[in-house]
Amino acid sequence: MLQPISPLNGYSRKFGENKLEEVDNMKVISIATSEENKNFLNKELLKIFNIGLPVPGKSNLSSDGSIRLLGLSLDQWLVMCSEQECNLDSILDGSLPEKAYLTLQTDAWVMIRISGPSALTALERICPVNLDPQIFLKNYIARTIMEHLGSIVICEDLNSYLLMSASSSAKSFLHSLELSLQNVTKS
Amino acid sequence: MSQTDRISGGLIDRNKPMEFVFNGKLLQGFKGDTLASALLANGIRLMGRSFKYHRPRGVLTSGPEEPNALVELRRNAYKEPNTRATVIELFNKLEANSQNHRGSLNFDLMAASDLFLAPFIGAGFYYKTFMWPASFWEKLYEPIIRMSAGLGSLSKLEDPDQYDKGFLHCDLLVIGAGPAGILSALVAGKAGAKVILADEDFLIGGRLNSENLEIDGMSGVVWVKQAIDQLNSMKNVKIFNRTTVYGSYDHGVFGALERCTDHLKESGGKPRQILWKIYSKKSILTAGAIERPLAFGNNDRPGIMMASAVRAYVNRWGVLPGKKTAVFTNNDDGWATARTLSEKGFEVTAVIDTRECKPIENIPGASIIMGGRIVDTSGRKRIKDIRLANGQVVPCDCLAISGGWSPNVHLTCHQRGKPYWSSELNAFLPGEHLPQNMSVAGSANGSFSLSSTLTESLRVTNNVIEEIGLKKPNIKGLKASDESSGSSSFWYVKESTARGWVDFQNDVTVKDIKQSYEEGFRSVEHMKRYTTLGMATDQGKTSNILGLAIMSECTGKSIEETGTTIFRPPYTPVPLGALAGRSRGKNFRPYRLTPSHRWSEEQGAVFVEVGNWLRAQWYPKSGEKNWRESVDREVLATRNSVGICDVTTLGKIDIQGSDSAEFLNIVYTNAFGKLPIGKVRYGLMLREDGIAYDDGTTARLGENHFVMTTTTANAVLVFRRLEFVRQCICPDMDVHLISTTDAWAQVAIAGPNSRRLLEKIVDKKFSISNDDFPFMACGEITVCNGFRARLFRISFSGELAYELAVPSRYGDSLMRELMKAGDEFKVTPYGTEALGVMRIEKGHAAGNELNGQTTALNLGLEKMISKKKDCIGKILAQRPGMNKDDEIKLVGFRPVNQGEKLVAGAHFLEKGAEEIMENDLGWMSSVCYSPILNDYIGIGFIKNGNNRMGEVVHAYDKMRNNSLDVKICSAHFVDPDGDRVRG
Repeated sequence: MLQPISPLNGYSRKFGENKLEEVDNMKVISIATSEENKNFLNKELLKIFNIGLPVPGKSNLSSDGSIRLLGLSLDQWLVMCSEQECNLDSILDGSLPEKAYLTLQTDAWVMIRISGPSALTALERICPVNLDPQIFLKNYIARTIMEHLGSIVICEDLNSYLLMSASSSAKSFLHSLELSLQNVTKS
Repeated sequence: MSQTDRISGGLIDRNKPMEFVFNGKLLQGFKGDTLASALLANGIRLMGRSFKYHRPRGVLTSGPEEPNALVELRRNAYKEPNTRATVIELFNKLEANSQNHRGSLNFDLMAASDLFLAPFIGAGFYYKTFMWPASFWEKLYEPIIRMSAGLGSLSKLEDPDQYDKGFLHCDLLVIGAGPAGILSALVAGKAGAKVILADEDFLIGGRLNSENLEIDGMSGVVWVKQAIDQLNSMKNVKIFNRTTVYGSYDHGVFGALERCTDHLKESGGKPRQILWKIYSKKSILTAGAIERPLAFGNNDRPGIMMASAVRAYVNRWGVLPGKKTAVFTNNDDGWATARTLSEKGFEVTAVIDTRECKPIENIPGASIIMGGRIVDTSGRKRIKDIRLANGQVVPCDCLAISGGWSPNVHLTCHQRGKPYWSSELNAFLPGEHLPQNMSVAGSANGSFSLSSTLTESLRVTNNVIEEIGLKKPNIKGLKASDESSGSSSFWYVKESTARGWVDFQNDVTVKDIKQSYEEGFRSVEHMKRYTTLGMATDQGKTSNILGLAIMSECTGKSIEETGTTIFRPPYTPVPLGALAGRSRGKNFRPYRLTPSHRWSEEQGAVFVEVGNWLRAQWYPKSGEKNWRESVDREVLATRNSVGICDVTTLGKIDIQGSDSAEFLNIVYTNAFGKLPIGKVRYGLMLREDGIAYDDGTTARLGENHFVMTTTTANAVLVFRRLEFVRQCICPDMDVHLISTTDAWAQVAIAGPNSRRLLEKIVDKKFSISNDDFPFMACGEITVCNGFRARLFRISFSGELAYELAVPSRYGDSLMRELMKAGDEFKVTPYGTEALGVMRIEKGHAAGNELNGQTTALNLGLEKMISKKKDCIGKILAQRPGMNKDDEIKLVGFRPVNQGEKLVAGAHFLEKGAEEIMENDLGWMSSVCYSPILNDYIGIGFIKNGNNRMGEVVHAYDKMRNNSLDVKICSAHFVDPDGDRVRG
């Protein structure tokens, strides 16, 4: 029996009114397809998740909030779902692989949620993307580099962002976020 | 000492006195003071010594252009040299010391260079001296020069402060918060633009804080306060005071340094400074102008200040720079200083205007001398009087000088923009080619009067707002005074016989510039470098124009024809700590941990940095005296039974799509189209020029699904290369890539008992017998009762070996399970050193061999370049020069005398050949001690090596004094026939 350990071992910490926490219950699959199979994929995803393919830079969230589709590029998306809410094997073994290419990505990423009134100010210290709430709206996503680390920013809500970066460098990524929050909060 | 020169008025807070120490003396100032204003208030005029001649110097200006009053601020590790007293915001318990003197500030022993050596150390003296005798250079000249040179001193301790950086975005960046900048921010803010207003001063307002000017019938100071209140009420406007925009870069990006805690005694664990990268759609430069001096005999004495600085100290800081002030000017603005002092009831002894015209105004009690020239001054540590060309001597303890104004065009030049000379304004103005999307307004654009500044700012901002796509707000023009701003092109007093200073910071005189011309330095660029004009911390803010003017007079050309040097970032000095930011110590760069890192730490592993990864290098056991003993044990245990090693760091790329096989045929030299599902193949990649690029194995998991592995070092580069091929060379192919390096924890299980160990882990429904799972097989399996895994039967060690991959989260647990299951086989974890030994014993090429110089032919892999298909690098790999008969070949080496140590990097020579490059035969690329062979072994490249088996050559390594004879042999020291891997 193998025991799982998440990249940050379930880290969670408060910085005044702000919170930094590892999200370690999400499964991630990358989906890619050819141009001609895009419509098929869209229909299948609507059938399975009730959400369609988002354009790059945006994400679509299922009505119950359990499944999110991220548009990474013109031919690549990420499906994110909580372990409790979706059966990964059923997706991998279902109809999708006929015309789409699926790759397990759950363990490739560390996910950290930064939330609170200083979340945006803290991200200003490391994120080159303009996250102004009037521009970077809810469910928008961006692929970027933070502290030399490739990362994805997802705007979950005002003052709440889900950040993804490589799991092997999770501790460096966490350090950059902790330091940012320390630097912008009084604590 | 009491504040003897403090007068009423000013914008300081007299309810908040502050104590500070200068050169060990306890003094007092007020909140709102700068160190310079507080020193002046305390009657201190001598603040430092000049760079070369160690001349006594006082404060010259009241801003960032200050060349003289440089001090060492704070103490011990916090000490910062060369800080400008004019911009240091006074705080309680501030400590500062003057710099650049040997002995006390008052009695500087190095002043001998001024009093006695000056005739011998003029411009460029160091280019002409110290030539002979040559042996004196290192022993005498250089030590003396090093001892004498430099401004300030370093603590040589690690900087204990924290620094940060950040990214800001705006529609409009307004650089400079004087009247033009404030109005611009107001207008843009009201239009709804996202505005950043940045100013280097701690007090917003620019010259309105230092002058008695009115806007719309109210004093400038009140107008600023009201404007700031308005701006603060706008959510779309951010005001950054204490922030210097120091550089303009491509695409509207600016660098800015925010001094967050420099005005506090301690930072309290927060960043002292933040280096901002500001992305702007538009920018307006409203950085004002800098007053320049006039050159005349001994114009550098303490008490000689810029005329505008005298006004600023009186009006903003309530400090009287002198009880008897004389004014020397070539323009109207100098008169404003005389008027300010006179109106406040202070004595003005004389106003000397270089122009032959009617006096601008009457200054009660002052001698008005039109067409006058100051030829000399007296007073070594504070000016006592001035002597005019007509012989008249005027007593004064302060001399206010004004040589006109230079618009602050610095940032307009950062993208090679060249300012142009306005003979009307006697100033360089922003040129035609401004940085992208930048506009300039106010004094920075030559609109010197307040009225014209505000008018221009409104017009420029309205234009910018429309360009952004917003509607301009209904803001009327403001009524303001229209000061007289007549100027002249008078630069220096020719009648002076004493030295007249042009560049105060570098001790460059009028004579130096003339001398450089006489010696043939006719270009301004050459003159600058020969004389050092405009170098050091002030970058010539007060001196450049004056130097150019003198140069143009020498050449007989106009200033326009003479040209100018241009500016580059930074506008003012940026501490190296701020540039480094938070990237220091352990977090200098990101680090990557393998899934088994924690387990390896528990085993006491010694780690090594491999790229960003931390990998276990070896696992010491108690009783082992050195690393070799640990590594030898790990190798022997693996070869005799079984060893395990975390190999997660190898790059893993998931390749899917109906054209994947064809895609691999392009990037690899060998064919992959017919690789069966469930099989792995070794592949070699070439660069476009035919040089070997990377190697690894690629497994076929499905008809359209491959998993490529790369070397650890090249994982990212190979992925990037594949993306390039996919997007640019083969855009029509149905191929999709994604890195899975981090997704899978991969463990090598090697050794004769590896299969037996694995059989205890792999779920029973999957057979891994030699028949069912032969060498180079792969498959998706489950382990430990149903956990998804991948198994590859590949071997880097040359043993019967497998690589088992599980999702990364199970990597730690897998290592523990393997150790538990392998207990009966005495399973041994091994690190990168043992891994390296075993691959050398097997003759496998690695990074040392694929070093960017070698070809497939050199590596003995020429047959891997398929003749049936094309691939990247194939054509150029066929160049005759890379296919000579005597090409270097990868072979093995052993010492002739057993036990002699081999060294990687040694070059091969024929025995007895002269040790010169022409006789070089190749080099040893990798060596190790082989515990199996009980001897040192190596692999390397030698000309025609495959045909020289058994011959003896000389391995020459003079650098480490380790040369010896070696015998050429096969690179496959262990199991050359591959029986073990197939067993």
